[in-house]
Amino acid sequence: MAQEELLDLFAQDAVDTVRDLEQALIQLEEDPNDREIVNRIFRAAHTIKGNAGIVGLTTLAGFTHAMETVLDGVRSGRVSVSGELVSALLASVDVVRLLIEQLPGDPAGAEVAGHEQALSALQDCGLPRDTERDPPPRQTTAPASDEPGAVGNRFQLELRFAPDLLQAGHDPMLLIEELGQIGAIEDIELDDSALPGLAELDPQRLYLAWTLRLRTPHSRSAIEDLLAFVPGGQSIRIEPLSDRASAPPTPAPEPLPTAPPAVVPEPTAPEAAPPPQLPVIPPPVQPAPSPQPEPALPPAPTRDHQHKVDSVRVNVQVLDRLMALAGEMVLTRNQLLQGTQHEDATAIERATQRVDLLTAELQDAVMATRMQPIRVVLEKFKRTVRDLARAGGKRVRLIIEDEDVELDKTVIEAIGDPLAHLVRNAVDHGIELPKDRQAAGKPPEGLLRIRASHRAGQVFVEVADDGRGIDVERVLSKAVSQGLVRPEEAASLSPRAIRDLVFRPGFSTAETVTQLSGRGVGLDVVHTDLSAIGGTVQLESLPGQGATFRVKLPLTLAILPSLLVEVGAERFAIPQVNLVELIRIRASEARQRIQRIAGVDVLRQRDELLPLVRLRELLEMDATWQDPGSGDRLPDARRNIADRRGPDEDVPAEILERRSGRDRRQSPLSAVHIAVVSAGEDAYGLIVDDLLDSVEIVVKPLGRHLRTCQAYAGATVLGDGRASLILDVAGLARQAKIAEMAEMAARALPQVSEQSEQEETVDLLLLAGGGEVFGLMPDVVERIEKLRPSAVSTVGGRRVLRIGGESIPVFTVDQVADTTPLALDGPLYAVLFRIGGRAMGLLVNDVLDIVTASAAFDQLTHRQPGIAGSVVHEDWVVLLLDLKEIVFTAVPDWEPALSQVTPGGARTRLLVVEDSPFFLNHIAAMLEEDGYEVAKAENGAVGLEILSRNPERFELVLTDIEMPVMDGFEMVERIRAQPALAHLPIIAVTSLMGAEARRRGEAAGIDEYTIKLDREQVLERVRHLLEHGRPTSSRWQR
Amino acid sequence: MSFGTPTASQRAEEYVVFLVGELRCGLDIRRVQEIDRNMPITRVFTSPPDVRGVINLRGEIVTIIDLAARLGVPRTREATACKTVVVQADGELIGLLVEDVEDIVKADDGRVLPPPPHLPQHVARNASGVLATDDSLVILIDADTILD
Repeated sequence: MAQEELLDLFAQDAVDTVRDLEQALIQLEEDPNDREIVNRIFRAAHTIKGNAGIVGLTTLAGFTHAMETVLDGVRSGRVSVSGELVSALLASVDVVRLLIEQLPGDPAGAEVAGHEQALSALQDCGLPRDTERDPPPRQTTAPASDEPGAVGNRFQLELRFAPDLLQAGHDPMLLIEELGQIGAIEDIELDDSALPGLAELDPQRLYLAWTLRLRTPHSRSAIEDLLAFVPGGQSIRIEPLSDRASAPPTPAPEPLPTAPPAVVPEPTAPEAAPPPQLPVIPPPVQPAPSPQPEPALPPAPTRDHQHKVDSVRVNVQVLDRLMALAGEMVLTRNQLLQGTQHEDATAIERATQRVDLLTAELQDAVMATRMQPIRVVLEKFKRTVRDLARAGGKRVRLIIEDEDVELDKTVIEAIGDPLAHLVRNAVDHGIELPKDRQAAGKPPEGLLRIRASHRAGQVFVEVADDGRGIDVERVLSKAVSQGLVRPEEAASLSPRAIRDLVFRPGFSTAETVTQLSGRGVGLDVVHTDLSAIGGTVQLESLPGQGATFRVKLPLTLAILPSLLVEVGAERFAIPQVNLVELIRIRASEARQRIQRIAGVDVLRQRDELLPLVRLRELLEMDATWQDPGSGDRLPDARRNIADRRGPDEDVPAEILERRSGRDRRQSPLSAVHIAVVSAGEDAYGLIVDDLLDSVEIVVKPLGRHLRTCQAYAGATVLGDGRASLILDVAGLARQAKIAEMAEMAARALPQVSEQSEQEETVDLLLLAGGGEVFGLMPDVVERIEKLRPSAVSTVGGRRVLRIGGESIPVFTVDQVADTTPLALDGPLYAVLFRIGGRAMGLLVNDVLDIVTASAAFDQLTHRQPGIAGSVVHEDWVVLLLDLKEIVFTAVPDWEPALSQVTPGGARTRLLVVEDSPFFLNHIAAMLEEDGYEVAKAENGAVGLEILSRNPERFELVLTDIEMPVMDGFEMVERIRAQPALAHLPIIAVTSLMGAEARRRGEAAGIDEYTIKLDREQVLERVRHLLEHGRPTSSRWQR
Repeated sequence: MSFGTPTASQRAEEYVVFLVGELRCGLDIRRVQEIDRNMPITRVFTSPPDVRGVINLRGEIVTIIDLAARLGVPRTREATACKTVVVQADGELIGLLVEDVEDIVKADDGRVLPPPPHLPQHVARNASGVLATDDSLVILIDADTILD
């Protein structure tokens, strides 16, 4: 093995061992009498020393030897465990880490910072001077025993260790030296009879055995203690020798001497004189345990001292799974090749589906190799907290709960610093001095709790202390004095907004810059660092009772589930982790729900006002456009979003097509698309032209020329090979000054809600026909067409409209109601709608407007067939149409066939079962928009319960497949097993596409299969199934 | 990815010669990775004005700098007809949008002179010298200043 490889291996191993060592040292301070911990520490130091020696790192070996000597003192009880000792040892651990870090560039190992300091701190704690460089010397610490003939017990020891002793990190020579320290070794015999020939010699195995005679003032149990942790203890024999026993027994070449050890009474004589111990008084250098910086603190304990070897440990099971998948992939490729050769479409389709599934599984498996326990990060804080508490004269109990949370390697690497900052902040600024705590009626020991947990595809880490909390007043006055907030603004800030000030650059409440936490760096760094990886941080605090920082993290960075949105011809990706919800507002509602208050666009959303920004404006996409010919940027002449002038050759065909139509803002079918996003602080709405698909993207960094663009978090390559930009939700918020907008909106909220609560309103599409004004709910309207009179003809006594080769039945209000007849020779419009999935039209003479009218209808005065009631709007009496009644009155025969779907009337109830709240809400909203009543359930078990409670009430179920608690397959099986529910049509709405999944789904009783977010398809299949009921044999539909 | 970036002290021996507007410019060939054409450029809104956008170069996102804008000369050709000179800079790939790539010339083919004093300001700032050959003058672009 090459030396470099060896060093790499050593470094990887040593990093882990050093971590163990550090953790054990911290435990030792809590529990100084636990011998097992002492042994663990000793073993760890010893392993590093031994391995360093093997790879030729003399500085490191020498240094760890010095540590080992002190630890040996601890083990033998000569040195007692004190805070100073632990500090000195921890400082040494830092030095060891630095020495390892220097590898492999400097294998000889130069001195590193703190080396000398750490050594002298060790010496002060009981390490004899001038031992640090020399090979392990004979210790002279056990008094008297070295002199031959001194009083004491004599023992014969047979040391026949387990052959794997060396691999376990032990060194027989060291053990013998240790024995020498508790007494005098009179004689040693080496048994090398087990040594094989050189060819078979395994340097990792121990072939030697020793027999030695020891004279010691200690009892047998002291020797036993010393050898206690050596594996293979049963082949170690300790036999007392009488003083007169002159000749030692001959060395035994056999494994064990035949004579059993004689039963000898425990020696009694010198027990009265306890083993003399070295004084363990802490060095007088530091008399006061006051909040004074410790001498041996490492220069920079915060950065990850990881050796730069970039490797991941992979669970063998994961590796096996990868192997299996790769094998499957090869198999499927062969099928694909065969199918292509024989032009067998079915085989190709099967294989393609298989590839689809396998790719997804492969991705999962590869991602799994990158997952690492968050524990690795959190455990480091034990040390941080300990050092900080000591430095600050505080007492802190740290509780870490990690729930076995795992995160992608990139995330793990990125969260160390921001979390460390929060932890330091909690100890330094949060938790009070013991006397202050007692004065406040709290226990003197502060509590710091770090908790990591999983929820819905994200990881939450809470750093909570029970300290003084964030004093809103103090934060505010500090922010004002630091110029972050203008005094006149101060009065109007909400407590939440004030708490968020701590994340602003330049903010710090620490009265003095402390050694470890201050450094003039504020929590804004935490905020920035976390935003960079798609995470967020929020602060909650009760003054006097503590503060909780809540950090939200994505599971992975490498692959980011995102939503694609469209503005103009550009597509942007918004990371799913930043998405709160998607809102589609019909143009008819836009005027009512989107308002302009104090110069800010806001959306009225449940009792809140959501600040809105247009992505187009934020990115200044309208301000200039680039002439594709000259490359120049020219001022844009467009006046508003719907205006799409510009050089046509640059515009995709579908946009040209859209542009040729009527102004989309006035169509009842166009909508405002809003992606509600949040980066931890206030949520806001991004107005985009369209919400596209949900995709998984690979994040790539932007070049240095684009670092100043805070709107983007990076770029990615989309399926068509084009580069596309990833939006940085936090950066956009800063650019748009969302915080200020939210403030203004919050202040404006009361007056707005007052306005809106006065009267319930509805949107009405106003139509004119024969002098009457009719009103319709815009959401039942599918399309409005301007007609030439010749488009309408009468066939078989019924009026039909021919559009695009289709013949649609059309009606007039006066057919069924006693109203002024329509002027059929005047201008004609057809309002198109569907009943029972069937397209139909209503003829009118004009489309007037979409208005917001009072919902207080008069249901009496004008009530007649086809007219549900009336409402007065401005000067008009608007007759409210009931389209279904018009159709069924005109053609009564249709009623039984088409009455399943009843928009406007008693609404059809659907159940949506989906574990991701994001998709759950989206699908539900989509269905509600289409006129259904929707109940939601977050997993199969909840869904089943809702259905079982009201078996009559539901007419169709849409379900995801992969869900916690109870998955879609099981839920469907159980639905089919209940007679009251078995008839329900069930649609699987999922991204799971494999043949196997389809087969299972079909067997379970799923009727249809659609892809998430394909709005038109979902709605069409729902309509179809409601109309036709369950198909007799399941038909699978892509 | 890391590239050996030649230091300024090493004299370039060959230059890639290309047109920016009507300006004939040369760049140390050791800094040039490849020359591409017809790459669909994604605009980056709010970017500095001389950044043309980004492209996907075999999975890597490469910033495209508009050299004409950088040198303050008018463009003579449609952007879609332009070529991209991909250069290496501090481990990053950057694309330079140029009108056309003409030739590769050796330093030995002519004489390298200091930049004349009358060059326009933006050009002067990025020029390290002028290569005078028998039939033309090539402005030698300093790869480091032009990419900053």
